[in-house]
Amino acid sequence: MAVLVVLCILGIVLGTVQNSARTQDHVDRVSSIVRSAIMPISTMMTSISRTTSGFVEGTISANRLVQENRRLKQMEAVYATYTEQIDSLKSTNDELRAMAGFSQVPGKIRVPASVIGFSINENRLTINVGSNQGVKAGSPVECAEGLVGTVEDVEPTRSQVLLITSAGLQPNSKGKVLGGIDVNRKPPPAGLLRGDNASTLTLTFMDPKAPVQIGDLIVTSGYSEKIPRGIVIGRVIQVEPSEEFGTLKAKIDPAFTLGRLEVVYVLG
Amino acid sequence: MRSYKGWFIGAILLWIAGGFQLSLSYPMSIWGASPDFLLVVVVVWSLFAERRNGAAMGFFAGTIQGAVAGGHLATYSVIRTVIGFVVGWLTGLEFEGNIAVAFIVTASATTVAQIAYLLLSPKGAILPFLLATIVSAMYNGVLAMPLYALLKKVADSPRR
Repeated sequence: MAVLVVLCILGIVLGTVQNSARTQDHVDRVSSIVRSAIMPISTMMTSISRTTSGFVEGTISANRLVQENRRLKQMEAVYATYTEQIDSLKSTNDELRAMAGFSQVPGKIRVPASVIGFSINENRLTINVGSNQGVKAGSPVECAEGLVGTVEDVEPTRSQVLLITSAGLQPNSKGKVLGGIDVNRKPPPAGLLRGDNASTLTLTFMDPKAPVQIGDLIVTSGYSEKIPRGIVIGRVIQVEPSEEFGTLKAKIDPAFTLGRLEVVYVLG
Repeated sequence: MRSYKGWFIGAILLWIAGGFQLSLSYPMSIWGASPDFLLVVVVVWSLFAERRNGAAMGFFAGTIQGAVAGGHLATYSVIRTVIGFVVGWLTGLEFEGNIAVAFIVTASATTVAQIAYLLLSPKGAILPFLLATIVSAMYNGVLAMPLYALLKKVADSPRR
């Protein structure tokens, strides 16, 4: 029984040290050592799993993949013609903002990363980039479909991302205000997002008569120092007025599909 | 199981289970329930161990789980320490261990661990979590059976 008590106390001490490190945006030593030890086998298993599923999928739907490849090559050619114009417009925009004394728009630097681990109970992902690649805590992470989450723990060569569906990512927690606007309406109503710890989010509008409808597209509001405006969050699947609190709550189905996440981008 | 050999095997199993937990647990999920490799290792290993060794194994597994998942280390390590201790204590009772026992004990331990986790780290949607817990319990129970058979073979093997 004494061993049980000692180990439980030791566990509580480890938890306290971890909390203390987190409040200072650090990763505690124990977690860091354990992750370093586990990462080689995890990376190997992820690689084997993806290669196997890719091989099976490729064999089953080879014809469809060939057609999709052709279509994507055509799209790439079209995209290339616009890239130069967009870069030129961006640099003009930067110069004008600098002349007017405005701060730079966040999200200009995109660090590509591979997803190397999932922790569904904790609504977290592990990605293979860290402070060595310029990743900072609080930076938004997106995939092709939209916003995935924000960086929570940063180590030199890896980071953990808290998903937008996590209740841990909520307004007023360490300044991580995540706002969403409904782009289908003019002017677009804005609300505060909060994860439900499930597969959905809740967007709370302070105006109980906000013109929001099922199917509306929700994007980031840009009312944040780190998260730029316009990243897709998801679509409204349910609207629920809360007369008691004088608010309107909308359930959002996030745009990204967790199971398909392989490559994401950390925005700096 | 011999002491040093048992700990060596336990350490290897924890390392492999930790890697599997991070990389394969989600891709292997069924109906929203994913396997808990580390918990399976703790329970099955503790079926061959004394209660204090079971508690120590649970502590290490909980620390690994908390670290790789980014969860609260105290929550995971305390829950798994208690589970390892209780399973080790069960082993001290007079009963014949077999793969059916491994299934039942692992499924029960999974249910207890998930409910304790729910109490210590409240979830938004309780019903889906509880349904996933039942599927996870069955899933872990099935995974425990071949592992039990393997460890039984190792434990019964004669010393050279």
